[in-house]
Amino acid sequence: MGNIKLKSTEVYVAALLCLFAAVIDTIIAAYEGWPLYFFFVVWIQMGIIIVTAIDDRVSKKVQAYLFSTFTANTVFISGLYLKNYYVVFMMLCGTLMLAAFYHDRLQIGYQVILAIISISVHCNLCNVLDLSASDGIAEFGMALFLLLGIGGALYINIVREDTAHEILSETARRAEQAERSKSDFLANMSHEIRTPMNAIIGMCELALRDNEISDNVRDCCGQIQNSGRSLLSIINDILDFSKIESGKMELVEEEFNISSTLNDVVNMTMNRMGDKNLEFIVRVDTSIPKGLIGDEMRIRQIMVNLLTNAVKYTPHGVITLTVSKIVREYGINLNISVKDTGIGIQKENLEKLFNSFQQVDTKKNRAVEGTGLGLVITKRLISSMGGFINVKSEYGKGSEFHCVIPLKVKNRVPFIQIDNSNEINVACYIDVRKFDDPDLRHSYIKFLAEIGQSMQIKNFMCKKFEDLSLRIERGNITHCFIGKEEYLQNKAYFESIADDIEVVIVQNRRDGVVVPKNMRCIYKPIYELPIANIFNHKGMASDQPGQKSDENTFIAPKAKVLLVDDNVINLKVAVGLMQPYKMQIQTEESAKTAISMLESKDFDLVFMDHMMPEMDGVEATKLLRSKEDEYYRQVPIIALTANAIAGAREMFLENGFNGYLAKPIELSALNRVLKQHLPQEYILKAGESQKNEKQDENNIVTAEPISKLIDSKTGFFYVGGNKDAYLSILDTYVKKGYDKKEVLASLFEKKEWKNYVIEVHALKSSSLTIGAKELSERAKNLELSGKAGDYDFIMVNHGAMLELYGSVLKAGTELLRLNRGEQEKTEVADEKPEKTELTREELRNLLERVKESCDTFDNDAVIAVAKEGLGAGMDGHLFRNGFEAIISAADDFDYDMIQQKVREIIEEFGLEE
Amino acid sequence: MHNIAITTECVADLPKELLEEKHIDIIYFDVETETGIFRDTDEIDAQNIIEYMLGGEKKAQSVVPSANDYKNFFKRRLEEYDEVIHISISSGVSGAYKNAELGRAKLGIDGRKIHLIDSGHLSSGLGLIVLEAVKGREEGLESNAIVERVKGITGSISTTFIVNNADYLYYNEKVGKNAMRLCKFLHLHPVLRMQDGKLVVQRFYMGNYKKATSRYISDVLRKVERIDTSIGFCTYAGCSHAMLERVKNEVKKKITFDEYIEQAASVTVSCNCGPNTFGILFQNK
Repeated sequence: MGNIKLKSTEVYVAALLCLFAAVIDTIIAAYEGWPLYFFFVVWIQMGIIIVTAIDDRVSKKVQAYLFSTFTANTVFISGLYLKNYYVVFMMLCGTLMLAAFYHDRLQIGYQVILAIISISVHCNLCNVLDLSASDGIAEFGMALFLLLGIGGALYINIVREDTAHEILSETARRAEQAERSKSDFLANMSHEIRTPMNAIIGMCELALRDNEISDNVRDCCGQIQNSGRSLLSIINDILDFSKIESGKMELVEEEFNISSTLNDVVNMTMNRMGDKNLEFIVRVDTSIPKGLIGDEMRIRQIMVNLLTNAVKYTPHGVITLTVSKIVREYGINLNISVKDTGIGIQKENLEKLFNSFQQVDTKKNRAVEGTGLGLVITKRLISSMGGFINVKSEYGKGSEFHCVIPLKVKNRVPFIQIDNSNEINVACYIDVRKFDDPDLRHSYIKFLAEIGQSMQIKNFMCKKFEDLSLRIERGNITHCFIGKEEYLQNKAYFESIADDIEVVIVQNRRDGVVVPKNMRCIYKPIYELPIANIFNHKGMASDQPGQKSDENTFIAPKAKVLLVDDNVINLKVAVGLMQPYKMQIQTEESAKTAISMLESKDFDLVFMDHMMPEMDGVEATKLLRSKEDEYYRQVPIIALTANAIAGAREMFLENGFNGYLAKPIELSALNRVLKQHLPQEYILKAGESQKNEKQDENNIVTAEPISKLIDSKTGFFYVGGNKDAYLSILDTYVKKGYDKKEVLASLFEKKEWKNYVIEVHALKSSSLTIGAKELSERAKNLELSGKAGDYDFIMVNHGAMLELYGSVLKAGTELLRLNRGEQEKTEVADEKPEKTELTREELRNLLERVKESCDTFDNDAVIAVAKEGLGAGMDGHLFRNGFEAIISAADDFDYDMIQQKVREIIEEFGLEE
Repeated sequence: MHNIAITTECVADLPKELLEEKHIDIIYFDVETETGIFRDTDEIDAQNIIEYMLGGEKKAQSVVPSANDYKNFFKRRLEEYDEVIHISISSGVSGAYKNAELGRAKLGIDGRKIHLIDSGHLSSGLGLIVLEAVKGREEGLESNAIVERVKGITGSISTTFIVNNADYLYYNEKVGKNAMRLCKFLHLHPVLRMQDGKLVVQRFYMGNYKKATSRYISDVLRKVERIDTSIGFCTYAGCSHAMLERVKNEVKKKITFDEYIEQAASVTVSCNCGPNTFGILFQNK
């Protein structure tokens, strides 16, 4: 038992007991008038006790022996004077019990021996000194007997303790082993689950690429994919946690550029935000060095975890990500802050926020998914990098997570640099009054006020349109950033200035406002990185002067494109942007698999991400270019990069790339790159194809009550502009619709909510496919309510939805009837066009109606009226060309062009009054 | 009337909102750990550093701004203001005041526009003095009058803290090893007090810490009639929410402050005292 460590408290108890004995004896001795040497001995003992107790050079074991000896000594002397064996007995029992506390057999033995010697000597001394001690022989015997009995009992107890201790040690060892096995098991299982999960997600992706699958199957695949990704993310969390727990988490120290990290994080967050009513504001210190040394993947994980939490717990409002730095001798401190206007955290919960497997306020957050590991992993990761994380929160108002990570720096050049920044004068017009949320308003005001300083450019913040126009009139403005609503309110004005000033429209990706050719567009969140790209890549479109359109002007259905990026969300965004070009797109998530794919030599163009784990884009391109086959030297490879630095182009060209595209990808730049690098024979003019689609669409005959219920334009969009396909889908929808309606009614009656939700979910997507947007929206609301368990909402709104469903089915039947008859008519009409002769007055009226529709931005009306003029003519001249141009301009929402065409027709036919 | 800037150091332990509202500019101290140097209260907080120190007895020490830092700080303020009144942490506990003096000297003739005050206090005690200066500015006083007023109240500020044990005082070389061990041995909880610009041990409470804190509150607030009740601080380091609630209730039983502010202490203060430290700080009439 000698290896057992004594607890500090046991030593303190021993010392205190010893002191207590000394003090009591001193008092009695003073009272009784005992000799001075007694005080001397006892007080020296006390001094030694205090010194040894506070000096940690003396081991606790030695202290324990020392204190018990002193106690025995004190008791012995006092007993000598008091002539009372019971005192001796009591005190020795005390010291013996102390020894029992220590669990030390040697101590017990020592104490027993000490007691026997002490009492024997004591007894003998009493006899010698004739202190009538013989009266106490019986007591002495009893005391000795009792002491031995206690000693024996304690000894047995200690043996039992020993056994218990051994059992405990064994249990602890087993528990430790089990813990380790659990961690290993979790790590192995997570790894084993990950492999098939990747296959499931991958197969879904393949299925989704198939254009021939039905909407229902597409929906199912989409859901499997989303659920798979959620599961994968949970598994990744568990894997990370097990690694951290078992100390197997290894950090990689390599050079990285924060721009790529930011781009990925922003894309992932936007994706997570989905349809939530949230604004995302990003603020970045442009002077963060471009060459940082650290574990980029883990830093990205930290940012994503914090932002994911913010999105989860913020139902509406604003989330702000701020990334800044403080320069230190060893490099920088990277400061990351994520602030939200969410539900906030109660004060008492702040303390357990970073505990494993714990979600705070679970009652309120029942609907929030998660393992509760995100913040624990985040904190551990930050700690392992030598950093810190803290949180400030106000319940009901929001939270702010702030972390700081010390990083070394390899290259101190700022990661965002703007060429000729002193020549840039920006006017920014975003009317913050349109935001209802005061937090959001405040955040935008702050952002707009500080962006100029942050980017070291002159920025004029304009609150009203009048301020902006005045500022532009004064001259010197080179760039004008405006919101989507602000643009739509003063469209003509912005289009008129766009030839002299770079006008940039800021909109949400889902807004889909078509930007005129002479303007540019960036998607939210607007922040330093895309803004710098706008400034720096001004000349990028110089291959095609004046070509800045955000519209794709061509398609390339035969072109095969390989997209390589380690971030799935980035791939999704890029695929989405390339979809309109109708190319055959293949995606890969690593450079290594991309190289294997390229062995087929089947691709016409490769987009390669710059920063990827294992093998980066530059390395992969070098490897490809070094291959002997001519194909590898010729295939165009375009770098995808979030680097907003001057000189990036040269670096990529030197390393074998044919060009580069900055992330976030700007449509005009993508258009230019595709046009430049795709085989010319694959490029087809979009106009021709689109025109056919438009003509098909125009051929759909509809009537006022039908068009209110079914928007055939939307339906056309979903079937790729093919009239036959649209009518076929509509036919199926109508035929099956009446049965489905009955099923819905029956499920509602029976209150089978689970199946009801499945049915309304199917109705949501199928209705949208035929263009029944209102019905789709209502079905969506019912679906969401069903999922949230809000059955009262369903009870109230089911009837109206069913009624609308009936109307849509009737409208669909009517639309089919009209178009099946009309189709035949149109075919006949095409063979023999009918020419209508108009008078000057009739033509003027027709043009007046076009102008009126144009003034009210009624695109449909412009097209409808212009169609009347298609087959018309006057004095032997046909108006077809002029009206076709009007329809084409209306398709582009180019109202200025419509006005211009109307003027041209008026001039051509001398209709001026 | 001159446009006067009131400045202090982050160790004044004033809430961020109050600093913004009253336009008080602060200069930050740094905290050096084994992994890096961090800006006090801006980059890391007291909880961070306490957890860091508890996890493996690692050391952390505060680093005062250099003379150059002060020079730049004052220079920036003078670009906006005509004069600066800088109220510094007591020179008896930190080298900040000395560096501020050097920084001012480096500004040459402009240095005359800077009034330096050695507060003789730290933490929210310093904060209370700063708030008095702000009051003077709000009343439209000239800089000299504000300085006089501030110097006049330093003696009436009560800056005390009760510390769980002397471990952190020992880590930061404020007490010797044996004194630390004696405190531990006898379960002594020191009460620190700012006296004549120095941090001294005013007394010890023995035994259970919970009872010791109750006795501390009772003792520190015993002369209720002398206390200015307009504002009182409970400045803490590493205290749980439950503990702060208990302290608040016990304070409430003794006195009602118009404004009772629970303020986390800066890292500089926290790493000298350790967890479960708090102080009731106020101004006497």
